[in-house]
Amino acid sequence: MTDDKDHYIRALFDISPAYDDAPVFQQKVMMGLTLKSWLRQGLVVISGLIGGLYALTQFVRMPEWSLKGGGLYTGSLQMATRRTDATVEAGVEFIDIMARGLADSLFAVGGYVQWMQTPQFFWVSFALCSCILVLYLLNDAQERI
Amino acid sequence: MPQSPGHNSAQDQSDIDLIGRAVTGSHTAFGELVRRHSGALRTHLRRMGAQSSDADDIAQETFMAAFERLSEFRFEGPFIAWLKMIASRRYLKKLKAAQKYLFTDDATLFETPDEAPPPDMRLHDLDSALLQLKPIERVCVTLNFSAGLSHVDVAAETGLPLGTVKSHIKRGLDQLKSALTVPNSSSHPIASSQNGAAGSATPTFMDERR
Repeated sequence: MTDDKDHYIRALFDISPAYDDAPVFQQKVMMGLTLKSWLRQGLVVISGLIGGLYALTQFVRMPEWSLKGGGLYTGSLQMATRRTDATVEAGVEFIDIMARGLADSLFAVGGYVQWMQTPQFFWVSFALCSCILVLYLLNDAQERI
Repeated sequence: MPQSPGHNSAQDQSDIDLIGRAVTGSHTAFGELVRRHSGALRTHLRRMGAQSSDADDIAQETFMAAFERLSEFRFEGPFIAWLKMIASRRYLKKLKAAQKYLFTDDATLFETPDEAPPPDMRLHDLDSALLQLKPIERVCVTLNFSAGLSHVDVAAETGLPLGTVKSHIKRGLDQLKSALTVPNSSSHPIASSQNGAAGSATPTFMDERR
């Protein structure tokens, strides 16, 4: 008798009601999955780019480069066109200004590249990567079934 | 409008076939598994005591976790049992993290109203009957009857002593039997099919959500 009643209640537990919003729920789950997948792939791509860039900077060497900046690429056009007529001079000066801007940018990039090759940068990035790895492992442990 | 062959084939396939396809990354196959089992999973969480929104959130998290760990499913039981286990663990973890009063020994917190249940509740309204149980009894009974866990497993999952779990289940079951009109014959209710499609006569949770 008791077994019958237990089976009856067990069978009641097996009945699940119909949900009006079942398709919406299904869509929500699938959208969540897609979003998570995109996020993960995006993170992989970004870390790949950053890692690749970092590795590249370790191999790049700028000859005669200094953090102070200076006139390695500037002023040559000015010297060459000092005695031409005013129109040509104006054009050359314009090009020279553009070249100066480009050279300054290159110096800035060079400065960053040099900085990225210093031991300080290595230890800062190493510590950051370790932190991210620890957080990832902690999150993974939390998500464990 | 005719449905695509892929859609039809997903609906015709068994859980095992769908899991096999989902493991290789098929979202269509997993979507069909979600369609089949979401109702049962959401109901299971509500029966454990989760509020509607919480239950849906945990059910969603469960499906997402299941998709990522699908390769760990060993086909040792029905897929829905595995899902219920994941969902139960997540719900219990949430309860423990929130330090809800579920696991306290203070019985006065769980006093149920003295008045008798309304006459219509004496029908086969399991969900209304479950509301009359203490939260901890509800959790233990649902884990035992809905998730199919043994008493030992329920004790392991909840962290309660085995004797306490047995007492909770016995008391809860006795209350359910008295609240429900349990027939003495073997006329068991028709269980929902594997795809979770319940008949139109089955109750819905829409009222609860409103």
